[in-house]
Amino acid sequence: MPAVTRRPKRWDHPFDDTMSEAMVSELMTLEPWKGLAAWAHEELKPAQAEARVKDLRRHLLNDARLLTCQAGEIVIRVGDYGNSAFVVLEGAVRVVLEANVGLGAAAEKRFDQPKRGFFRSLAQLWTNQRGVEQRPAPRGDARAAPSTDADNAPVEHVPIVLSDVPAVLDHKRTARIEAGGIVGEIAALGRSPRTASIFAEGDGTRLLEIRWQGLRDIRKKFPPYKTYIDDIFRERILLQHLRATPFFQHVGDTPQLRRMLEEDRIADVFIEGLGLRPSERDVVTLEVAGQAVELLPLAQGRGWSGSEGIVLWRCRATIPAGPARVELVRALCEETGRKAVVVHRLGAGRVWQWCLAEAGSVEDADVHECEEGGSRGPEELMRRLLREIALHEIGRQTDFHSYGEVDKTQLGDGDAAEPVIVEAGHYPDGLLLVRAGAVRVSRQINRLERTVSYLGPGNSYGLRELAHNWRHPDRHVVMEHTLRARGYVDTLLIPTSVVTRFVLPSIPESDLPESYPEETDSPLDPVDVFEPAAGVDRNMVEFLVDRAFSNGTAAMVIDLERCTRCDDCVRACAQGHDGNPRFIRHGPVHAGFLIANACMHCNDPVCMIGCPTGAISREPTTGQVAINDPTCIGCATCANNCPYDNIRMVQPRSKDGVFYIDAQNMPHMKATKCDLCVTQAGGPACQNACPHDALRRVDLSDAGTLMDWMKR
Amino acid sequence: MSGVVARRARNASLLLGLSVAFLVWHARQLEPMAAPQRFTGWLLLGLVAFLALYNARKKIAVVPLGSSAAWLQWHIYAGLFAVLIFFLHTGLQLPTGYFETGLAALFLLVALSGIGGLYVSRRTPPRLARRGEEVIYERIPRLIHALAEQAKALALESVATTRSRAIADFHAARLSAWFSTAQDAWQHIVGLEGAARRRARALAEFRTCLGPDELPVFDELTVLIAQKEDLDFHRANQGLLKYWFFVHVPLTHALLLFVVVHVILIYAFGGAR
Ligand code: SF4
Ligand code: SF4
Ligand code: SF4
Repeated sequence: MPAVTRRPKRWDHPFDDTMSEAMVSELMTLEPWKGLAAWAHEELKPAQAEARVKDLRRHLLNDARLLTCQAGEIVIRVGDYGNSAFVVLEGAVRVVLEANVGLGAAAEKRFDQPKRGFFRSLAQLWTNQRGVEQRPAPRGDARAAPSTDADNAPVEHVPIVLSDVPAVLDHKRTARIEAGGIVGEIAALGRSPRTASIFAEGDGTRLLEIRWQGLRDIRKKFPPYKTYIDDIFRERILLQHLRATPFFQHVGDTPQLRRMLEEDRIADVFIEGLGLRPSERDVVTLEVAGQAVELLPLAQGRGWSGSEGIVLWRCRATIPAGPARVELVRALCEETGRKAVVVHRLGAGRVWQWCLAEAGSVEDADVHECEEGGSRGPEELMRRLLREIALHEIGRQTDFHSYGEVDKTQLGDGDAAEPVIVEAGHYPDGLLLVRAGAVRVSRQINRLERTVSYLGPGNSYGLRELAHNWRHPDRHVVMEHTLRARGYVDTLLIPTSVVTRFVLPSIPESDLPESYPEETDSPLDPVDVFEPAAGVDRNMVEFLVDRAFSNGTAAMVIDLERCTRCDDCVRACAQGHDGNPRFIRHGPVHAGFLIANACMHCNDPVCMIGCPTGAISREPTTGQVAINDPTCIGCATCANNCPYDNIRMVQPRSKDGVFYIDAQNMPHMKATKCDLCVTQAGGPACQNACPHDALRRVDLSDAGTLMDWMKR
Repeated sequence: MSGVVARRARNASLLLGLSVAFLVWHARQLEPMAAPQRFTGWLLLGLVAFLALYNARKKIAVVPLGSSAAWLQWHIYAGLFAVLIFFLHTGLQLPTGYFETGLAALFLLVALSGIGGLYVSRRTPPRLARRGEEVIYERIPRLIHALAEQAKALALESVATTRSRAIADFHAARLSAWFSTAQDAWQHIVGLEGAARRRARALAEFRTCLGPDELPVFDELTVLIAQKEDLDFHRANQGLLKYWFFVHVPLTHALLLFVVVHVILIYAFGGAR
């Protein structure tokens, strides 16, 4: 007889059991929550507004907790993987703007997931449930039935305090975030490591910590909050990515970066290569008022009225206001066959000049001009148009799921599904930075396109070409490789003008990449920084890219020439995981190496997107992706999202071995996957159990690591 | 030199060095030592106990006791050293009495099964990696059954599609039984190809008798036959890798039992000097 129990629910496990309705009511009097409630009452029908505010209260009750910090208390540490963001309620926090600063011993202290000691490891042989996938009955609403189980207790907040705050403030550049501001949202929503350390400025700083699933849902339900978060996300992530990129280290100080962003505006620097076909990237030269004008297409998007195919152009010349601009826009519409274009002039500081030809025939086109900060009317529409274009771009660039433009869980299949980001032979119009996903780098070898390498998060492409062209204006080279997006890719393109003005002059000559030799007739000569190092198996690289395995930071690789198929690895895994192994010793094989069906702990774990309860998350210090069993409600969203099919749904049983079912006779389910033995003292049990050293957890984002192991 | 070859060379020379040093030391100590057999006996007992511990270590994989690969290296070299000590302990003489003979035989069987297992575990994986698709052992019977069903369906369909019973009859007479279970295990293990060659010859001969309608069907059947051969190969060799263990481990348990009795007998009946 199966055991009939209540199915686990989204709200069963609040972030903090002690949050009360009274505390939520107090929060609702503070910004931003007060503003969001006011927005709902103004913009929605009363019943809808009521429901929305109720939702907000529910999120605050279940997904948030209040923290009161002392001066210097570290809120966020750079490099950690965070699953929550912090809203400042009272006081202020300081964001440390310098990368990898030494903030003293306190800031180095890490709180790893506690590992079992030797005796607990031994004891688990007896204490682990005897049968397969046995679990205690779901405990229901935690407020009604508080847990007595130490493993299920909420994560405790342990304060770590900087010893000398004034010294840090004196010596480090910091940014101040005051009440109402939010920090930590990049890592929380982007499944990425924290990009800066943040500490409380004074005693009694009050913060509201929100779990990522709560922030995601509030953002979805309150459009003004979404816009707010997206705007700061866009600006911060760009700045932080640039700061973390080695060549930008030389540009150094943030004001310079800021100026760079301000001069060309974010939309300029933040151009994304993916959406633009190479043909559209070509510069268009038009004859306007007797002057040759060069126009560069920057971005394309949907217009505010829903019209498709609007292109934002950058104009390299000053065009006087009046008929000349009208003429320019008309000529551009005719040239490109488009009904609407937006042109802005390069390097115009904060003053923007716009021309818009609205839908209809080119002859009837209405051309407007406006400046940033203008009033209502067409100018307002223009700004909205710009905003839409910028968001459209960002939708394809950031890790935000709810933009919904790209299905990040699809790996793509074959060339047709791999959009070209950079095409060999094209003029290098920018430096490409990869933020997420995998990019295939290929070149023509004997008339065949061969994969020579791949790029992952943090890698860049094009510096060599740009540096060469900058040093040798008389002897320009073109892009050497074709870069394609393997599934979902998140890139930034820094325009050549920005790179040559700000970046290249600041890099010491010795650090600049080598120029192409004089005798290089064709840029496709095999002088190449991306050429696989000696001994790197090109076919293996091709295999890893084809299957998008390069996303994996701890893939399970088995050397079949050594594996005796003894299944010691499988048994070891089962022993530590409810009697059921968390992987299948099976999977694609190349050159005698098998990539097993085991979670690879991806650089970008797309399985996390959409988990309604946030049960699947990254370990704070190591970034391993693990599922919190009690919080999992068995909806299978993660299993469906994992492109590698590495999550398995299992049916839990009671201690007596009977399956749990709900009142509708439907079985309870739980998602299970490899957790890299995060709580086991010895690390991955599968690897430790292999008698023949045939199994290794390998970081495939760097092909070299695999090659070294293959050659051992 | 690859890392593995270097490791093997290093470990083998260490073992050799240790053995020679031990032999020299043992020869010198022989006279002054009051009870040389007691010393080698206890040493051997210690070694056997250590060797048997490896199996226990495997059973508690989640306890941090060092990697299994490192344990195996110690197991192999300590095992070889134990053989040397065994011969020193017995003085290279044939044992007397049933019990002593049984004990010596058990020790040698355990040692031989260990060395055999080592050979098999080094020779077989590369052969498996080169042959057919990688399959999980437990799934092989199901896959064989599926292939048998496909072959049967193909043969039956051929009657209608080719309007001839030739392939169906050939299947019934020559292939049906062969498809039904894993075959030729020993040939696959040893690496003999007689059965496969005979089958290939029979197929080639039969092919010459077929008409143009039947050839495509027959070629499809040939693909299934090749897949079945690969599965048989995996079944036999993966089985060997799995089951040699079921010889080595029970023999070890029996040996441990005999050793304990041997020690008790020696001390109880004054054999120990
Ligand atoms: S479950 Fe899938 S997507 Fe998630 S980290 Fe593991 S392999 Fe990557
Ligand atoms: S690391 Fe641990 S959980 Fe993951 S497959 Fe290996 S044994 Fe299983
Ligand atoms: S433990 Fe090692 S040798 Fe045994 S099946 Fe696993 S990978 Fe293969």
